[in-house]
Amino acid sequence: MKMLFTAILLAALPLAVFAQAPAGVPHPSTEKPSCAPSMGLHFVCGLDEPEDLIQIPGSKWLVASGMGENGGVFLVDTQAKTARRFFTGTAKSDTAMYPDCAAPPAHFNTHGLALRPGSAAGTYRLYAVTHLPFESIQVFAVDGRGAQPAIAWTGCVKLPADFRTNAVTATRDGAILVNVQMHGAHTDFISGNITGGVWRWNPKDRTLKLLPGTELAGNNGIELSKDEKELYIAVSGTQTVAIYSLANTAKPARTIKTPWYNLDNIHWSGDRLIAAGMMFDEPACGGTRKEIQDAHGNMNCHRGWVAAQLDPVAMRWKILAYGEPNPSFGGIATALVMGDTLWLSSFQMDRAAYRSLPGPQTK
Amino acid sequence: MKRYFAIAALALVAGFAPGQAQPSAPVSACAPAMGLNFVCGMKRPEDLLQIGSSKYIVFGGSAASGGVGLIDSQAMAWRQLDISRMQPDYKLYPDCPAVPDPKVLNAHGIALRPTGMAGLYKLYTVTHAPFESIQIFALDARGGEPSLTWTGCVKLPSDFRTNGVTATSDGTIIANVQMRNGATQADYMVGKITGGVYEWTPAGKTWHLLPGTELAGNNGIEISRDEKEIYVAVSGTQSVEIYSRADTSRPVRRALAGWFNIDNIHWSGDRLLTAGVIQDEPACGGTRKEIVERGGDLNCHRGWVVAELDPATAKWRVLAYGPAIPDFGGVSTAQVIGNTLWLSSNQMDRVAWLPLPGLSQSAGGK
Repeated sequence: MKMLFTAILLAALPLAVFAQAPAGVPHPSTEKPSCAPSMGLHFVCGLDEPEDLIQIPGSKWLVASGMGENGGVFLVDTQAKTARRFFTGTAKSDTAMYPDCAAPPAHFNTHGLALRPGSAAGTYRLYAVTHLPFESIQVFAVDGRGAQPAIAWTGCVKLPADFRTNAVTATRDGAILVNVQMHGAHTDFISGNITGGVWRWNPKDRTLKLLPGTELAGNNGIELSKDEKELYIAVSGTQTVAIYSLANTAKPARTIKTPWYNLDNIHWSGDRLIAAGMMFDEPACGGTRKEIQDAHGNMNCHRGWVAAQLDPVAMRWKILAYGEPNPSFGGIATALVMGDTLWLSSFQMDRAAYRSLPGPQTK
Repeated sequence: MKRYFAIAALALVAGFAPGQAQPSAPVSACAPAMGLNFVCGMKRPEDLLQIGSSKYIVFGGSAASGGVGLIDSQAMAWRQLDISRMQPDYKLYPDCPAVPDPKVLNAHGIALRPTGMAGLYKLYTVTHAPFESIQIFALDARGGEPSLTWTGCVKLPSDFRTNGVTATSDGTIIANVQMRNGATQADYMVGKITGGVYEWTPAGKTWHLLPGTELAGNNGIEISRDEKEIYVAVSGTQSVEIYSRADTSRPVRRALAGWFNIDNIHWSGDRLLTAGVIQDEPACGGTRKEIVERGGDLNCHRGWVVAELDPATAKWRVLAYGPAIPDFGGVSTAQVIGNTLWLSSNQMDRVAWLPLPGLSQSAGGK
């Protein structure tokens, strides 16, 4: 497996994609500092810009995306603290459902992920936002029933080439909800401009339609309520979560602003709805991202980070953990909790991070 | 004096200063922690202020017999200031015949106000022991190391728990009372009105409430450069309420911090700085309100934030922040001297300093 991993690394095409940064701002090549613990964080290295993380429910396994030049789909063993490439080419294509692609791309990257229950217990559909070789949602079947999870490519849904999609979720009926951060010339969400929207792909007619009212300033992460009646949309430009009823998306049913951090991804982690992101006004980087963008500064500067739990009914935040800028870790995008451990993704590093979940017992 | 500083600096290695009793807060090693460096051996130095543009910082010790101290911000050493020297102005301050017992006197919030003479200041201290009062000293920084001369006191009602103080150039004293009439910290942490701003004038020599300034845990206080406005930090609402002194019936502006509990507010050069602890601190199990409600540990060390407030626009700029650590807690005041940020503590035996974060310290940027 390691040989295969190395071969794929060598063969991979140079890719250039965008995470939080608006178009025109260069994305960093994957940062690879020492893998030693730093400032209270421990690392699992060997990933490639793992922007998103999803636990395979009830297991020790995390599926990690890979946005970098050698990206793809990765698997993290949270007990052994190791990572390996998960998808290595196995395909069981369902061209009836997904006629857009006959076979998986030879090399691709992944950004936001969603893992939705399959028809049998322990099986799942994995949806991955993919920018290269073309903008799409790649769909996989994941089988978590064995000692080692298995993955097979199922198909893809192509997206317009001018989309800069960030995240994805899906309903049980197979509809795919695509959270597009930027499209066309609409790229500057950091200044508060409307740049994105949520598009729904209908499995019956295979059309992609904008959900009217979901056009926001930098649509970022997306999650679905447990009953699939509501959408939770993280909005980077306004540091808010906008909650929409799927029955009527004309305007948000509820919104909540974060007090002090930028929102990136939002995911269920067990019964916790957790959002993560970076410090809004970061002194180590010279201020807010808008200030840095306006000053043509370094958008890749590592900012402090926050992981917070949202009560989507009461609309209240509960801070789970936060940290200062860390030279060994930046671009925090997803947080999830496994036992007493907090896991963090990164859209600019070669690693995921973990630490003990803070609490009074640690004092 | 320099010799005393040197001795104190050496003694700090052992974690205490000469002649000092053990601090009331638990003592841990004085070694740097999580980017903070320490000067140790004080008694809960709740408030501190740079003396003019000098290297010296004056601080109040809010624990029993904390007195007033002086930090040399270059030598990273401190000494207790002699507060027994007196030159009373009984006409202006008739309440106290002499300086309270220096072995008992503590100092909580402080204000350093200029006089007509360069290098000469009036130092006002909120003092709880031996009795609730504002103590006034002349602080002379005209030559060498600053010294204090006690001038007088203004007594406060014994049921006041005063927190901050400032004064105008005509000698009016403005005291920010956090709790009165038996109110407790828990009361303002759950949002109850507990305090108010009181003013004492040299002519009237009585305290009167500034109507409209009754807030949920009045804390630090500062005055605008033109002395037309006061900036009132409010612990229970994580806000700074800005009042016109001409009409305090309601704030003219409000700056909500939201994510940190604002403690003290002071000018530091041209910067108006606030400091405080993280509002929702996971290491402590949540907000102070939540901890009050479940009878938890309010002394748990929380992370901290220093933010600059533009009082005209009521906009914040974060200058620095840090996580909860065992070695430092109760962050309450910030001052910037050169490129160094100084932090006070209302619960430790030390103050902290660190390089001011900025692009030169940018972590990992490419």
